Amino acid sequence: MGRFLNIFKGIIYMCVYIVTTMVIPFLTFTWVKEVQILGVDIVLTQNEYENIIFWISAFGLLISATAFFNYSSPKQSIRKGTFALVQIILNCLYIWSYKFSGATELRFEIVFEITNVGFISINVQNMVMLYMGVYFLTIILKGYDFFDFILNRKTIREKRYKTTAGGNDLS
Amino acid sequence: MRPSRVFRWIVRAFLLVFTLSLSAVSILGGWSAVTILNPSSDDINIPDGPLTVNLDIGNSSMDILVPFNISNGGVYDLSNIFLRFQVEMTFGNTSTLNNDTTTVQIFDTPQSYGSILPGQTLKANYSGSGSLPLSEVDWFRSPYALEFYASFTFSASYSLNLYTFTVNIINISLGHYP
Repeated sequence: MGRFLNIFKGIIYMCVYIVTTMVIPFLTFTWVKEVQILGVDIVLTQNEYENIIFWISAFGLLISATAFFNYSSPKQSIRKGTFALVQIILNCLYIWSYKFSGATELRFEIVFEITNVGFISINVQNMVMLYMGVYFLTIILKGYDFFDFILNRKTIREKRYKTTAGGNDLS
Repeated sequence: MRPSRVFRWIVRAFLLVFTLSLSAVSILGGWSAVTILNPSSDDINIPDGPLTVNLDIGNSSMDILVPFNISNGGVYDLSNIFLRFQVEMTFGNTSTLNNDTTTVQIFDTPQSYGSILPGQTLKANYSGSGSLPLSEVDWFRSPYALEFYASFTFSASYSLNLYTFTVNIINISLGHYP
């Protein structure tokens, strides 16, 4: 029963990560791709849009897959520690992809009656870098978890056997 | 509970507080920035009133005066406010063989206005002067001897400088002489 519960938990978290890392950014960038303000079109160039969506989808898929393995693994198991660490590193790469795909410095062309009359640029690079810093601290935490699960493997197993009477350690 | 787990929970709680604070800053900042930039909110008015351009052909000079006001209706300082006008003049150049059309920059004045605290309004005038290189102008060029084009840049930072936005309008026709 516990095994199926873990798989169910993995699927739930995978869906959560698909929504947060792929669906919401996709809808946001699609929505801002062409906005009209006071009759003037504010347009994100097609090339830039496709580049951003490609990197978001690529890392979003990897993160969602890793989230499934992370959250479906038994608590305090080496498998969970490994996947949690991999997932955080992928999260960092995902945030970094916002920078190198151009999503942190969006440039919208201002189009008035077919003519390009200028541009609006929004730079959120400092914000993304700050998030990277927080994720870096999380890497330390997950690394700590990983070594903790290895070094205290015996204690963790004893505790698991005690709580699950007659159960087998399948981790 | 093992001491290593207790230590982990302390670090995790610290990270949670850090992440939640950061998310609150980004959400509040993003929302305020959208409120300020919303065209219907009238928070940014450039120009705010008649734009004055004095073209003095006799003295080969020009003056520009642009009144503007910017209100900060958000929760953070609106900082690094920067305005820049550039004016270019297009004319037939008599120093070339075929009186080729030449464009020169006659006005370029960047100005910084510091920060606006939340709830406050900056009401100021952007002004500057430029000189016209009229010695090589073909005054018989058609349709006009002189044509003027302006470019405009406005930039500012928001939410503890985490967001920076720039608006750039390029080559808008200002008018012509005669």
